[in-house]
Amino acid sequence: MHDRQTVSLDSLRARRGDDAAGHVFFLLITAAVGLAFFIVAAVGVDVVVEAWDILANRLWDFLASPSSADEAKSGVSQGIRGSALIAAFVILTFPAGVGAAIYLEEYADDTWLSRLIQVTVRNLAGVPSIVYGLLGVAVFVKGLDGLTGGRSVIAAGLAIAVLVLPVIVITAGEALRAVPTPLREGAYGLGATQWEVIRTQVLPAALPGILTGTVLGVARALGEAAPLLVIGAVGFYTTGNQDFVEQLRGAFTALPMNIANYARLPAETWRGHAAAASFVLLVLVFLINLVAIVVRARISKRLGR
Amino acid sequence: MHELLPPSRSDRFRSVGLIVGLLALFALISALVNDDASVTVVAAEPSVDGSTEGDVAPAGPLDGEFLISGSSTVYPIVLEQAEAFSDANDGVAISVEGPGSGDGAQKFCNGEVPIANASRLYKQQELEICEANGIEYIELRRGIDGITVISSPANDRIECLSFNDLYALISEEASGFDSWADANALTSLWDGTAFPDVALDVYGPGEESGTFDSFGEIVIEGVAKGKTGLDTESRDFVTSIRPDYTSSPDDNVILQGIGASDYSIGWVGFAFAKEAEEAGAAKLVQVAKEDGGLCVSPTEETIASAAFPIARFLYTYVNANAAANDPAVIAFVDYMMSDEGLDAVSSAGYINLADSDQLRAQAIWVNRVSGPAWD
Amino acid sequence: MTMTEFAITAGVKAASGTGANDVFTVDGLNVFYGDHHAVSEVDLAVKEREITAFIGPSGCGKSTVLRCFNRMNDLIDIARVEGTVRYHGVDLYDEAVDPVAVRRRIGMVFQKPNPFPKSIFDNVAYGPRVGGRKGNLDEVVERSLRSAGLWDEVKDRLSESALGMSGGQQQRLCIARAIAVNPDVLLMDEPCSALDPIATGVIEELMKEIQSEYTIIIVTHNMQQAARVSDRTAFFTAEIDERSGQRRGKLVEFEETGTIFSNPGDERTEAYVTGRFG
Ligand SMILES: Nc1ncnc2c1ncn2[C@@H]1O[C@H](COP(=O)(O)OP(=O)(O)OP(=O)(O)O)[C@@H](O)[C@H]1O
Ligand SMILES: [Mg+2]
Repeated sequence: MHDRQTVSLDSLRARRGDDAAGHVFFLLITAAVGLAFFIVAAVGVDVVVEAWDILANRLWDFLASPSSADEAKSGVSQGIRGSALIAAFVILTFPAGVGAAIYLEEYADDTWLSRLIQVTVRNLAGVPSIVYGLLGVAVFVKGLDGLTGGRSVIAAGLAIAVLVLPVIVITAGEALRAVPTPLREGAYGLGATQWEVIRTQVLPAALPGILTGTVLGVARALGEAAPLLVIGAVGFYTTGNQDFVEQLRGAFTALPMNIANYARLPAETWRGHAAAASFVLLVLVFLINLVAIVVRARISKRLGR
Repeated sequence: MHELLPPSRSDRFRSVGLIVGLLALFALISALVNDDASVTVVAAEPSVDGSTEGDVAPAGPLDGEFLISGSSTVYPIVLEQAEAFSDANDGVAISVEGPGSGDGAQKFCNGEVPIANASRLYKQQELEICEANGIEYIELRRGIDGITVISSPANDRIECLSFNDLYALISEEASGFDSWADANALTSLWDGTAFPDVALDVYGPGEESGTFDSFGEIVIEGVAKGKTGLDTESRDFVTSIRPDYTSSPDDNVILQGIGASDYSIGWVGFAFAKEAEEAGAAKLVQVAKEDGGLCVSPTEETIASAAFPIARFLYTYVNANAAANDPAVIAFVDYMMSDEGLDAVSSAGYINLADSDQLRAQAIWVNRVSGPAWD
Repeated sequence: MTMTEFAITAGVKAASGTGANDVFTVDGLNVFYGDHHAVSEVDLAVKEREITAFIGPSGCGKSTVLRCFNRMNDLIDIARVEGTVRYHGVDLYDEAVDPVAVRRRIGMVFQKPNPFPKSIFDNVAYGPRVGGRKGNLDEVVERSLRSAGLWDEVKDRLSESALGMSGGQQQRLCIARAIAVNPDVLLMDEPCSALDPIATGVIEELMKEIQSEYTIIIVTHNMQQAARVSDRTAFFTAEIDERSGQRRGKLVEFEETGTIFSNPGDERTEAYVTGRFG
């Protein structure tokens, strides 16, 4: 009796080296997390340190002032406005993206054509953003000149919306696909039509995922600089006598463009402005992600998960 | 009977509403903030209007809109001028971008912008596009971008460097050279200078800087393209700067490095170099374009007269048609070429033209002389 | 909707020659999943107000056959059904038949409880709502929950999420949910496989109770369950097809439950019910 107990206890004792691979893997992933955290922290600290002068002394003024040749006056209000308008365009395309995803996932038969479309959407999501800029110039700046007014925030908003659209379609499609089959079958089994199943079960269940995709899209839209450059975001503008519509159709800028412009100015004193503009962009993206997390959590809670 | 709760189907869509609403609010607020800001800019300064006398005296406040494109080097000058101009003429919507001289030329010669800046004269093929599109232009010289080679005030052995010497010390071919004598391997190829065996530390602005570009284009590319008398057919020259120099966007940091070692070498914009020399923090090195050529000290005069070789003129092209018909463009260029407007050249860190050039540029504008005017 | 109405809606004349109280008559049913011939040549008749049990080894096609009774297989792209399944004489696979209307008459309870991520109330009210019923559903919900023997347990938490219930409660909720649309038939695919013996007992009792109002078909792996609750039992098995090498399900024997368990006509049935099956 006593003997047996000793043996069994011994066999339960943790032996070092038993799970060496597991330990190595754990160390590796811990290191990876640490590295990622370190990089993010380093970037954040660097930005804040460089921007400190502005953040501490004239943050509100910096947020509320347009760009200027005067270092003490120059700010990013025009960039914030442009980025917000671009984000608004992205949000307007959200129904189109979700609609396309619903069609592809729920309605389209599994034919070579629908597969081709799926593959194309995936490829579109991987196309470098500069290409969307060129597309934007050809279609929105030149082709739809009458609507967009040429190199305007409307053209930029549309181009970036088109850029983000595949991301929304893919993430929404993935969210729809992740809705468990039993849920659908349960609803079908009670005599729901396909649209009723989609509306009352599939969409609500996929909503957190769809929202995440949209937020990722908006965050990406806020950070894109290349398409803005080709479409023609400017470094400085005034609005003169333009009314609201003319302003939408006129010169524009956006936060990434502000950053690029500040970084390009020769004098050292402008570095702080570039860093402060970066800081503003980082905070915005962070806030948007935060809102998404909160909303997602609330929906999940309401769905009882 | 127990009370059964009514359903609340719309509940979760309220969250979507929340997100959309927040973003809309964000858009609205920023639009408002921006409007406020543009109101604060309004400050009519009648003194600027003085420069518009003569040609066109617009009745009442000016109205109009235009975009200025072109060189990023010239951008800071125009930024200052555009801002001052729009402060005084709040009816004009004016925008400025600086994608580069070449991009600016494309837009200008396609008639997309009435005004474009360049850190060089337009190339033949660019002018051909202008011609093909029936765009006539007024070519205005604006100022000078002068770059100065500096060393430590304690440097008693280096007085003058030729472009070829600078190539041997600072081009990509000089990567890894940590003694001046290392560069002799290159200079000996063209029977140039023999440098002493002292530590070589190189400082300069980062790649994002216009000064970096200008130095690379004028000196390194100049050598590579045979403009300094070297036979470029016989060997391959590189056109880029060595990657292993110490770069900083901060001129003051460059200066610290320069002072820290006796035989340092670096390059900065003229305005800053001059201040540093006056403060005893740097030595301005003379530069000769060709080996054995005339060594020139950088001064306002030598740069303005083009005797000092590391400098380039800055230009503005104005669409002749707009210069005749667009009151807003006319008023802006009037201001740009006025003595007051030209202050922006020096306050942006560049050098004003010699008086003769200045007068000539102003005359070209006043008389609307179109076509090539400078060489 | 009465049966006649249903037949008219379906635009099909009720076929004659079926037994008076046959709810389903299956003739030469074959089901394919793509190239896989999963079920072959099933013939059987399901009687009204009876509990019919489907038993047989895993993969023999019980669920597949069951899902033919309310056209659930329509949801699987690659599934294809041949032969006829008549419901009160109406061919369910006739072109004019609307599968949505079929599923409102023929409800289904699945192997794993699948409550919707909604409140208990909304779960039960879901069927009536999509069926177009407006107004106060309190009564329907209460009656359905009572029929499922769940009312006393949940009457105070109707607005809470159904996902917070125990597995047995969830499955009874799914039954209540199916009953709420007032169907004619209930299809139950291994409804107790995820439940403990007590919860299983509750559901078996429930089936017995509601048998007076519904025709029930139940798929089960639990031999005692089939013996306890069902009036008739169908034994399926799967055989390797010589040509294709695929497993193909077929109906071996369909008899009164007592016969299947005490005096089976086929030795494969006997082997299976006595636990000697390979
Ligand atoms: N959706 C499907 N796609 C392809 N093949 C399927 C599908 N559903 C079932 N099958 C196949 O059809 C055959 C019968 O499956 P079915 O689910 O009807 O068996 P079952 O008797 O219900 O088994 P179990 O007792 O394990 O539930 C199996 O070979 C299975 O692999
Ligand atoms: Mg099954």
